[in-house]
Amino acid sequence: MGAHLRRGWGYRANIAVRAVAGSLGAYLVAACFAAAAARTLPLPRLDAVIPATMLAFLVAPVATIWAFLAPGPLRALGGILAAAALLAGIAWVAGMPTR
Amino acid sequence: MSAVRDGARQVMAWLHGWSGLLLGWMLFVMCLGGTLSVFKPEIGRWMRPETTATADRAAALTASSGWLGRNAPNSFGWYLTLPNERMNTVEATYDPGTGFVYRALDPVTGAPAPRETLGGEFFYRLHFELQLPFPWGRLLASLAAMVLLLGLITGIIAHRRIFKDFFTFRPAKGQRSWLDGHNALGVLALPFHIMISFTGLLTLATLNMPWAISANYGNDMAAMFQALQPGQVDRPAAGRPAPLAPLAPMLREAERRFGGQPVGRVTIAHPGDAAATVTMFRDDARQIAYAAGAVSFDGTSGRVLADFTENRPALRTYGVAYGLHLARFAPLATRWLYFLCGAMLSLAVASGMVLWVVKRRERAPLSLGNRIVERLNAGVLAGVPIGCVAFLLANRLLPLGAIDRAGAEVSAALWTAVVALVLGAVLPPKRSWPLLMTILALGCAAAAMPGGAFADRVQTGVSAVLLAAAVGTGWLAWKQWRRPAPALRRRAGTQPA
Repeated sequence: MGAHLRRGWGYRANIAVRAVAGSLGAYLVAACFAAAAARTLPLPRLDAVIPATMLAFLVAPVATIWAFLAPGPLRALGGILAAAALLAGIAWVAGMPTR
Repeated sequence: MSAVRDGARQVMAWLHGWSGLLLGWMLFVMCLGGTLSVFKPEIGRWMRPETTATADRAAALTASSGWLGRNAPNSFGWYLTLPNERMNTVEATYDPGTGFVYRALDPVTGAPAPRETLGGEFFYRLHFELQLPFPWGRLLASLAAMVLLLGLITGIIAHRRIFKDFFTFRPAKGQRSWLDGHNALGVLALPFHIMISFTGLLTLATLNMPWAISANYGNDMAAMFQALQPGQVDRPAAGRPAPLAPLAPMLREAERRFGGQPVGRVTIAHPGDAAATVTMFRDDARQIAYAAGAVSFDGTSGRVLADFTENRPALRTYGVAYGLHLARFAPLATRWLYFLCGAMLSLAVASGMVLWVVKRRERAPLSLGNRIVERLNAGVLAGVPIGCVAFLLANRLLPLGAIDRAGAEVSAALWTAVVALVLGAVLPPKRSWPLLMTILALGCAAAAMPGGAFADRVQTGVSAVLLAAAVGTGWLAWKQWRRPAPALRRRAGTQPA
């Protein structure tokens, strides 16, 4: 960031909220994505684990980047939590496969 | 005021810088350790110059299991890697009654090599365990790998002209030169960097991203591992002693079932127990995929319990991704390519850390935080390689029969790195950098020289790389002694006395 930016408390709070959304939040989204994908992909339950986990490693950085590009810090945090809740919901509805 | 108004590109550059700063030093250690691990077997041979005996797989397996039967009969298991074209010893992990140890066993006598050392295993473990206890080292390494992947993606987005930048180098121009160098190192091997960070995350996935597994298996991890490797039988000990059947016929049977492909790794669970189980894995060097096939035997009768070759598309993909990271499949030329790309990634990380400071130094006097970064840079970026060289030197200098010789080598590496860190912290950077680079150059040259250094191709190869490193770091040290960076002079001139 350039020196032209004002580094007040508002700026720091903005960065802090986005950092939480972009680190813990992004991991939460990736974890929920992994669970949802593992349960919904039309594959045997072990096979489904592989693409679900691989894609989750790409979902995490995308979520982190989005947390810093969202229009505002609360929008970033809210969006991340909403995405995690949606994915967790899909995983919950799908239920644990038995084979 | 918000980070967003500057446009996406600046936000990405900002994210690239800050996330890199937080884990950059750890990433540097990982990249350096990983780069050296490409030649793990060759480093192991260089570090055990007395152990030159060779034997075929069956003879080496018989000799090493015989020695282990006499010296580690109560170990929970023996985990062996058999000799191959690259390594003449049997690599064994076993518990002699004092906790698990790693030793290279002589393929003829089966006893540990007289020069007790972790060898290349030290760099391999440093790469993903960072000398920290389980699971913290692996978790931190996972975090750093995620930051590396994020750094690569944000670095690409932050670039306006990725192709043009690659051909841009403006030497001796302070910040611009560091930026150009950082860009070139990152871009030239970009596909490798992305592959290695992604597959690296995948190797630790059961630890860092277990949620797909727990979504489909709950807490029943045993069921998951059974489904993952059906060729490996996991059963409890019977509690009754029974002698182990000869292993050589099992090895021949496994290789017949692999279509003539060699066995690479052998696991013997509960040796000496009536329920002993022997699992033979196909050699990882024969195909890209890791653990492509396995056969399990009843340890007392030699009867086949399970035989499995991986053909499920999703799991083959995983095996190939895993194998791409380990590079055990790689023939010599490809290994060198891995080594060079890994070195470039290490240097990309290091130059990124330096760039953080140089960029800020040219604008205004450094803040306290950035002065700490500047000094840590010298301590870590020069000090960790110095520690690695101290490990190699200790291998040559410690007496052969010393108590816990392998541990003493590791201590030498860690304490040397700590001393370098302290030097970097207490000396001004324009003194500490040339001093540490000189120590590194002399250390590389010294490690290349003593006994047996040029006895055969492997000894010559490792020593030649050390000498090349000595020349490279020596040249840097010479430049730093002769002429401090322009930015340093400028800043020194504007500073009050």
